[in-house]
Amino acid sequence: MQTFKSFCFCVVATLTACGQVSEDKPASGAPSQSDASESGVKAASYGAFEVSWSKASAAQLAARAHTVARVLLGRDLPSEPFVASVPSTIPNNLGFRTSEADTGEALDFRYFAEVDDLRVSNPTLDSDITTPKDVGRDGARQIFERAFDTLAQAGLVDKSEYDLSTARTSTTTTASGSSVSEDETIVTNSYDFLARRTINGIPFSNAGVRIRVHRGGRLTAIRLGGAQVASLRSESTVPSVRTLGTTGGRLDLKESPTGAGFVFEGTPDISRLAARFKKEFPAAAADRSGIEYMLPLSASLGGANKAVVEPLFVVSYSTKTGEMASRRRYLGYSIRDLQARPVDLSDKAKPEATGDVRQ
Amino acid sequence: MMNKWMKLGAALGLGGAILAPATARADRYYIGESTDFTGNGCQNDDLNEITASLRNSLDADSWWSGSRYVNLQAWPHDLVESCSSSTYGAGLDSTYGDTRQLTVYAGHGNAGALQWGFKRNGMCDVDFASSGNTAVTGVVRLGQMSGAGTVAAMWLTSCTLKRDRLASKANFQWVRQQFGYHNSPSIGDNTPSEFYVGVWPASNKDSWLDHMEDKPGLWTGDNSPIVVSYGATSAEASSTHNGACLKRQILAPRPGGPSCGNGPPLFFYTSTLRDNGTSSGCN
Repeated sequence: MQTFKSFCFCVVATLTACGQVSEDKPASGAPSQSDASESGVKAASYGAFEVSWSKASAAQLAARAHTVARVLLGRDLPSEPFVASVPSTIPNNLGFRTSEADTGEALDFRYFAEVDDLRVSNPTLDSDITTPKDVGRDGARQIFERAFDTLAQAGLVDKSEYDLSTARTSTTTTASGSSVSEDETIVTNSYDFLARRTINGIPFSNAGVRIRVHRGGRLTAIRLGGAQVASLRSESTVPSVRTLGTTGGRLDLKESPTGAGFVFEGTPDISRLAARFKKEFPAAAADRSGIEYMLPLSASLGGANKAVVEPLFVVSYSTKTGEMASRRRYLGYSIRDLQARPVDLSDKAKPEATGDVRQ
Repeated sequence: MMNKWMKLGAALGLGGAILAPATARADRYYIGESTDFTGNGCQNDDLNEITASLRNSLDADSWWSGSRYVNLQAWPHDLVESCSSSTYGAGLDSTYGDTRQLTVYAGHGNAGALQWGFKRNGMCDVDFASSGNTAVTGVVRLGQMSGAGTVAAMWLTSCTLKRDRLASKANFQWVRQQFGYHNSPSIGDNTPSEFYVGVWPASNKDSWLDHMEDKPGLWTGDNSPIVVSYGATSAEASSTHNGACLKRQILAPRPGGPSCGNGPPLFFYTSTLRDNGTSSGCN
């Protein structure tokens, strides 16, 4: 069985889905290129960034929930129900529902404090499949972009951290039928948009915005939050804070690492890494791959609230053994050291797990 | 004559489906989980443990208790229909997997299929429809025939509820709801627990779709969670779909299921899929 490099704090690389970043094409806005690498492809400057999570205070969470609810419903709302719903000490997993009397329509809230992840949804609208109007994917995208702008104007997201042109679109659909008929009705409930935070054009999977647009054109859900990135931003070039590699000198990353972050030279030529993955994991069925920032799943919750994340060539895949498909795994190949063993980004396996003993 | 709980069920649009208020603790769940798939006769990737915290969350509510069998103690036979060994295999579902309202399995799988980590009596896999060799691959018939106790089933496995295979596979289960995936999912250690905790204030369906798509703090959009609900009418299927809530009430087993060896009578279904695509490894 293939062994993996054990995880230390540095993480990652990856790929995005939907063909926005292919195995043959570096992420748009990818880091600047400098010297030539061994393969003849120019090396590029990349940043490894310190990331952290900050738990919202009760007042901050109430205000954020209030603002998201206003964006979701598109109207003004009183703040009192939100203040009343958030306890002074916030548990890691907090859920509450506002009443129709308070917000006009019941809204569900869920907040995961350790990773600063807020989710707000309109359950009645989420389940509605009877509205005859369907704004379609393109119409929904316009609504998504307007909602994103509204969130930015409210200070809940920073537009400069996102590239909406790379937002992934999917759908939620409901199918109905019976055992005696082959006719099945499939209705689109919503068009779902996922925008991940980007760092110098590379997606970061531990922070983002998810917005669902109901078929009729209203918003049904907003999810936002995640890790914060320690960085300096400039429209011009900025000197690196710490530089790895041999070239040193000035770099032209628009977002430069601060804190424990550093700059290094890596290869944007991921074709070799893709080929290496195929060779090392011949039974794997890859669903997507590309360069991205992604923390190991086992490090996302619990432990320390800081980490340094490095862009990796990430492969999202399952293994086919006979007729059975494994659950999804994530593997990250270094773009800094092409000979390094891959990092297993999946949740840590626990083959020693036990449960009840049969009587 | 309707008792008060049946009246409540009717008011909620669940017909006479409510069996009892969720108050008295009883053995109501069966959980099987495989994490060790190396060298035990059922080869695949080892997995993280994802039902320990689910069990803790269930047990934290006073009406749940049950069994959780892991690795060597988890047997595929627990889910195999026991009414006819020649038709379905050497099943034990009338003692284990089909005697509780909530049946859960975590491991590997495929469309309408599950894989265990330890081979037992020659068996690693089960199929939801049929088998060419029941000594090797048992056949599952939950909520019907022998046992007939499962109301809801949760499949923490790859592709088991792949939508375009529901009619030929998963719909053979005579349960009120099934929760699973249309593709190969990544599931965090605590994600199933977060689903259960989220079933207030949300419904089963909404909580499953929202919590199982990505774990907290992660925005991959890779998983495609799906919920399927059933009923004797389309209205009943829809009501269960949008209203059932594991934290608020316990539904009665679905009535009128097929007898041993027979196929299902008329039923209606509703499924909702958060569709982030399927996986190339799904059949």
